[in-house]
Amino acid sequence: MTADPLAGDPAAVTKLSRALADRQDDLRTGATTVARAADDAADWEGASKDRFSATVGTIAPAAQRIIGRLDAAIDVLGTYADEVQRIQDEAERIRASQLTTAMDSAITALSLSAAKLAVSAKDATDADARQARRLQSDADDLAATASRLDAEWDALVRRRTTADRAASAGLSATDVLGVAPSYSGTLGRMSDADFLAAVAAMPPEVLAAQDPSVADRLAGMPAETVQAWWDGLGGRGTAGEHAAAQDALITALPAVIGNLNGVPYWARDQANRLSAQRAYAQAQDDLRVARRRYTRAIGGHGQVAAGHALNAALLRYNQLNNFVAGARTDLNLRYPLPRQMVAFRDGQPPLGAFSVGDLDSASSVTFLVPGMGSSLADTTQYMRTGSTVQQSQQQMSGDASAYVTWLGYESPPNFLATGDTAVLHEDSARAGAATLSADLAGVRATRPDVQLNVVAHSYGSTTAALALASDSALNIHSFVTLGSAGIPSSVPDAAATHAAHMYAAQANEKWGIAAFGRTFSDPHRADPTQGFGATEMHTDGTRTVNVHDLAADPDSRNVGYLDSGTKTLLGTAKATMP
Amino acid sequence: MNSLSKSFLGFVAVVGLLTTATACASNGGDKMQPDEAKQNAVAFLRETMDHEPLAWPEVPDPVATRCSDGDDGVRFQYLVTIDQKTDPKELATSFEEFWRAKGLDVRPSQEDFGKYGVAYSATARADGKPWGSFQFSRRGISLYVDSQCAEGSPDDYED
Repeated sequence: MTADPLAGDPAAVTKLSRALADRQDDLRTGATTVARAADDAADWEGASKDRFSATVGTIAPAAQRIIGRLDAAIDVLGTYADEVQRIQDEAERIRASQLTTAMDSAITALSLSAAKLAVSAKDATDADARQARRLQSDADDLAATASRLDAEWDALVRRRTTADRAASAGLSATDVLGVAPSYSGTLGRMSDADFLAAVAAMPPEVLAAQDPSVADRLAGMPAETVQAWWDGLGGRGTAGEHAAAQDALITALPAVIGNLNGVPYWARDQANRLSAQRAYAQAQDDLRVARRRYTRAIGGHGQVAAGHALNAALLRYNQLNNFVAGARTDLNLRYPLPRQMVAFRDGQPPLGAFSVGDLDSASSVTFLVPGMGSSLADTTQYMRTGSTVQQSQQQMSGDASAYVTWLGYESPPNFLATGDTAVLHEDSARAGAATLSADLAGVRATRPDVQLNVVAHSYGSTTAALALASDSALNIHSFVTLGSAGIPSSVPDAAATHAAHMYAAQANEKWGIAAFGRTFSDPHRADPTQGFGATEMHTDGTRTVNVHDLAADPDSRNVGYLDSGTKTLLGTAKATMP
Repeated sequence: MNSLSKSFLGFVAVVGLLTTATACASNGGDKMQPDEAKQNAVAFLRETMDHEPLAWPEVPDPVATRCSDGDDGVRFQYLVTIDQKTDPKELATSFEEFWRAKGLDVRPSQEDFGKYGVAYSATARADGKPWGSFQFSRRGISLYVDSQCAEGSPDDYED
């Protein structure tokens, strides 16, 4: 089931879409003819007329239902054909570049061999040495280009997988196929084992049509049960090779499979990309509608209401737009790493997590937990911040921890921008801690031996401390806090986090943002750098890090905790090193 | 009114002034254009690379990133790497001196990574100029240059 970006014929898909449109025309014509026949019977009388009228009366609505389903199918096929065409164009460009690069590499390798021989000869000159260095530099550049093209190809394979799955899901939806039978009552009476076997045996369109109790029951299963069930369907599987039943589950129940602990992360990634793309498409439509309503709103109250609706639609659009952009945003890594959409929970606000690194195979996994004011609209920014740590690790050992940008909780609003004092309280942290703990447990369930770390900034450290303290079985290797907004009193010391190592960094920040958060916290929260039992990670006061942010403003002399070149970046890279 | 409350009100007043000042500055329309910011950064990067005759790669495409947490604007980050055995301490000293001579405020750091050796890094800052930073180890070199903050948003550079 490996997706080939060059496979398929978009023109044939478009042709099929047109054939369906022609069928719609035939249906409309037929329905009109039948309606005219009903008019012809106006002069009839008696029981035969009643029977005829009743029968004819059902035909137009039935035709309309079929036309509606064909509409939905035409939409799906049109979108699919366009996307496949774009992917194929991109694939041809990459393949052509790969071919050119391979030929250039071969020629350069030959020239380089000759140049090295010349350099080692007795009559070698400085010019020979310069030529060898230049050719070596060319060879390095070509190797880097080849590596970049390989990464682009891998990304295109994932994009094609997503397009194939979206088309499959769209054509299996009830608005195309109509209403599928519900087995919810029968399933509800089954044991867990029978329930899981029955669910796995359902075709995607039937599974997708079951009422929410089926999805809820699946979502509530223990990770060990889910893992055994999933593996029994055809092994763990990989993004490229897996069982048809596993594929059907991803397509039919993406919102469940995408967040189901015990399911491998390649499958969660595919399911979450499908869910997030759907939510993003809906947000685009909602924004268009909100803009139209705003321009047409009449009267002061109407405009204010339409303005609020437009702001809400724009906020949601920005969040989802940035989250899906995580799949393709540029990162400064030394060696490319695969990405996975680890979690996606559609709601108000939408929440999720994106990994740079493969959670099914990485030797180390690190969750980056941001603080106040963060949302999915910041996904790519935090991915870039995490990749700075990963680049640092790659330089030291060639390997990097998989960094998960975890935006899985509704963080308190930025106090400085809004004046909202929620950041001084624990409510957001307690709600977020439950989800963070569950997401960490998901990694631990599928990867019992992986090194698992948490790096938390500002109020993220408040949330993370509660999460880690709640579950000693998470077996956290390193817990790093940067500019902590304080640790709740229910976590009295580093030992209570159950982490094998806890590190805490606190710079002498301009405006003392973190210190303010701790000082005015209610209930009071502790500074993890002061007698807490954590190893202090040095910031050199104002000599290096001097602001609360992870990344500082380049038009200042400020330095953030994870800006390149800082002591805290090196310390964080070391603490979470695979 | 107790002392904590006074501190709180004082903090809010300071933050309010700072926020207003920042907002005024960012709305003033005096931000650099992206092309100019990139040109300055590339010139600084080339100058820095020319300082040591190493097997430098071509100047790469930059990554667009936010100017700072939560703020408007975009900066362009260039990363050049070399996988080559080096004497990281000697190189670090050389680049620190080079940047200091150019008037940048250089702040070095180092961290012992045990079996992977010592990482030498530094940040170099100056008002109204691109940033520099590096990380050197015995395994290779990472040299970053960040452009000045330019008008726009990183979202403008997402495909």
